[in-house]
Amino acid sequence: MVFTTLRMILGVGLIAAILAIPSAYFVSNYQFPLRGFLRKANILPVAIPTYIMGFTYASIFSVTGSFYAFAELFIDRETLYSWDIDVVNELGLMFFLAFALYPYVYSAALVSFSIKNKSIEEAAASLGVGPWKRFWKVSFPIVLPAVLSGLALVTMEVLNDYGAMAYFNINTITAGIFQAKQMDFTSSVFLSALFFVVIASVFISYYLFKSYKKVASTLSSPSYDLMPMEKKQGMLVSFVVFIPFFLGFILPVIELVSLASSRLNIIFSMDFLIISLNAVQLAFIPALIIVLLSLILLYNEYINKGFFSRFISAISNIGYAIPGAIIAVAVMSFVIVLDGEEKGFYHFLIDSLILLIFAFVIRFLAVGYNTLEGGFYKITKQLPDASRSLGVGSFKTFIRVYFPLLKSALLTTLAIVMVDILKELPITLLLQPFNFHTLATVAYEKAKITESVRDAAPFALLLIIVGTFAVLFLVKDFSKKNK
Amino acid sequence: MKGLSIQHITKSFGSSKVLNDCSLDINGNDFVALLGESGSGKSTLLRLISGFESPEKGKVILNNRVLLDDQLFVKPEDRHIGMIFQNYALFPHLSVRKNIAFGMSASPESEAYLEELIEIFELAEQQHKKPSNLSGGQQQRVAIARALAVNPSLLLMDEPFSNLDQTLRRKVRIEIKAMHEKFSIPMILVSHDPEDALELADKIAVLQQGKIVQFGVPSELYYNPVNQYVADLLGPNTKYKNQFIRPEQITFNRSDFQGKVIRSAFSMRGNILVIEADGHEFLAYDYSRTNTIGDEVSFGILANH
Repeated sequence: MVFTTLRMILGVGLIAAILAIPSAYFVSNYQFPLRGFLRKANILPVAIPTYIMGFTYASIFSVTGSFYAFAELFIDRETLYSWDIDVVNELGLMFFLAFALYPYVYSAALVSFSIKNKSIEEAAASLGVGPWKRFWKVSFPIVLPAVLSGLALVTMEVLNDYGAMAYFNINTITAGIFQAKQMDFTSSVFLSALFFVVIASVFISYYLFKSYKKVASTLSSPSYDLMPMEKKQGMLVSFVVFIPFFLGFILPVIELVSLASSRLNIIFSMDFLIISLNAVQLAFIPALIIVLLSLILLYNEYINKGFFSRFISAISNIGYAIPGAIIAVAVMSFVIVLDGEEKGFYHFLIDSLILLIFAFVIRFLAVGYNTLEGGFYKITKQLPDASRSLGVGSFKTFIRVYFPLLKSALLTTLAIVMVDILKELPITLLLQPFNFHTLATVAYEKAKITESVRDAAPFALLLIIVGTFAVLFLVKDFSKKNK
Repeated sequence: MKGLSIQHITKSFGSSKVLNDCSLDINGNDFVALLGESGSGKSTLLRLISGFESPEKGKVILNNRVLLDDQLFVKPEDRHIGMIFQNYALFPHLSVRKNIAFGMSASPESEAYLEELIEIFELAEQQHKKPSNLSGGQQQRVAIARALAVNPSLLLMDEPFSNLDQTLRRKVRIEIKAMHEKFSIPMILVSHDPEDALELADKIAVLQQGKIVQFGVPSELYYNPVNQYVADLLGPNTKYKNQFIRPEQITFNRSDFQGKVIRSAFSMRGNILVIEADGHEFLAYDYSRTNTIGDEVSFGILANH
C-alpha cells in the first residue's frame, strides 16, 4: 500500500513535470501564436477534480467510449480490439492525475522563469551559449526550487485523492483509511497509513507554505520583451504548449459535455437543483468561517508581531498538508473520545453538518489564509500605522482602513474557498449526514457505484464550470493587483 | 519641562543591535534632524518614539508624560505624536478631505479647523479627489495637514522628501520650514540627505551604530564634527591636523600652502579640485575655473565661517 502510494506520487510528479516545464519555459520566454491565451489556459485543468478526471478518461477509453469511436474512423475494428487497450490501471491513472495536477508545477515554474530568468538567459546568450544548453545549464537549475514546490503540491493532492484511486481500484493509504473507518481505528492498516502520511506531511509542508503564495502571484503579465520566433518554430511551440491544455481540459470537458447532453432530463430535474443548492449552501458556511478566521489571524499578526502570532498562523495552516480522509477520521475520533463510552451529550455531532463544517474549516483554512494574505500585504503597514498615529485605536483602524480596502480580496477568498469545498470528496464522503448529497458525492457515487458516468456527467460538469469561473476570477484578480 | 527626552534606549532585531544605549533630549519647539547612514537606526528610533516598536530597555518622556519605561507602554494611538511617512500612507479609499479629517473628532470647532487646514495647505480644489489623483507635492501636503489636524504634541517625519524630485524638494523644504514656525510644535526629521538637515533643522543629531555621537546646531556639526563619520555625512572634507577642512574654506587669495592640482572636475559651484600639498589631498572650489591638472597653486585655509 505504501509502495503503491509512493509509485503514484513519483509517477504523477514525473508526468506533471514533463507536461508543465516546457510549457512554462516557452510561455515565459518566447513570443508565439496564441501565447497569451495558452499562458492562462494551462492553469485551467486545476478546475477539474482528480476523481472527475479519472472517471472521464476511463469513459473516453471504454469500449463504448469516444476513443474507440474516433479510432474506428482510421483503423478497422478487429485490429483495434486485438490491441486490448486498458487504461484502468496504475499507469493510466498516473497520466490522468498528472493531467489534472500539472498546473501546480506549471504556475510555480512560470513565476520563476518570468522573474529570474530573463537577464541571466540574455547574459548566457551573449556569451554564445545556444538555446538547448541555456535551458539545462541556466534556466532549469534556477527554476528547480519552484518546480519542487509545485511538485510538493502535486504530492499532497495525490495523497489526498480518494475518489480516483477507488475508481481505478488502486490501493493507496487513503483507501486504507476508508477501510479502517468501517473496521477499527487501531488496525495496522490505519496505523501504517497514518505514520506514512504524518511523515510525508511534515516533510512537504515546508515547501507548501512557500509555494502556495507563488502559485497565486504567478498570473500577472511579464513586463519584459519576449524573444521572437520564426513562424514554423512558433507554430510548433504553440502545439507543444497546447497539448497539456488539450489533455487536461478540452478533451475531458468535451467528453463530459457529450455525455451530459444525453442526460438533459437530469439537468432539468428538481433533484439537480436541490443538490446544487445543497452543495452551495454547505460550502458557503465553512467558507465564511474560514474567511473570518483568516482575517483575524492576519490582523493578529500585524497587531501582535512576533514568533507566537506567526506560530499560531503556521499551525492553522497545517490542515492543508493533511489528507482530507485523515482529517475526517481525526475529527470523528475526537467526538467519539469526547462523548465517552455511552452515547452522551456530544453524540448528536456524529452524522451532523457541524462536524462536516468543522472538518472543512481545518482542511481549507490554509487556502483562505494564503489567498487573503495576498490582499492583506498589498496594504502597506504604514496605513494602519498612520491611522493609529492619528489617535485611532486598533479595532477602529481595522474597520476604517483594512475592511474597505480588503473588500474585493475578501470576496475572492470566499469564492476560492467555496469552490475548493464544493470539489472536496473524501471528507464529504466520510462525514456527510445520512441522505445528504453534494455535487461531488453525487458525481462520484453515480460514476463509481451505479457505474454510469453519463449520470455523473451533469454534476461533474457543473463542478467544472464553477471551478473554472473561480480560477479565471483568481487570474484576473491577481493580474489586476500586480499592475 | 516641554520637550522630548529619550533615555538609554536599546533595541535589537535578532542578533543585531540597532540602537545601543541611545539618549537624546529635545527642548521646546526645536526642529531636529536625525542623520545617519542607512541602517544606523534612524527610522527605528522614530518608530520607537511613535510607539510602533518597543525597545528592550529605555525610557521616553514627552512634555513630562512618560510614554515608555520598564513598566509602561503607551499605545501609538494614545501618544499624540503625529507622523509623516516616507510614502505618505494616505488612505487610498478616502478623499483628501476625509483623509485630513480621519483622526478628528466631530465638533463645530474641528470642522472649522479642517477648513482652515485645507486653506493653509492650498487643497481646496483637490479636497474631493482621491489621493491617487494628486501630484507628489500635493500628497505630501495632505499627509502634513492630516498629521497636524489632531494637534499632535510632536511631529515625526520619516524621509519625507525621498519621493520628490529636486525642484519640488526645495519648494517643500521651504513650506515645511514655514509650517514649523506657524504651528510651533517640536519636530523630528529623519533624512539621509545632509542638505535637508542643514537647511531645515535648528539642531542635528547624528546616529552612528545605534548611538547619538553628536548633537548640536548645524554649523557646529559642519565645521567641528567629532569624527570622520560625522564629517563625511555632512559633505566632502579633508582631515588636516585633527581639523576637518571643507572645500569652501580653501582660498586662493593666500599662500600659506604650495601644492599641485592632481584632479579636477566640473561642478555647479565651480570646478572642484584635488590639490596635493603638505602630504594631504585638499578639496577646493575653483570658482573662476582657471586651474587645470598639473598646475602649481598656492592657497590658504579660512577659519570656520
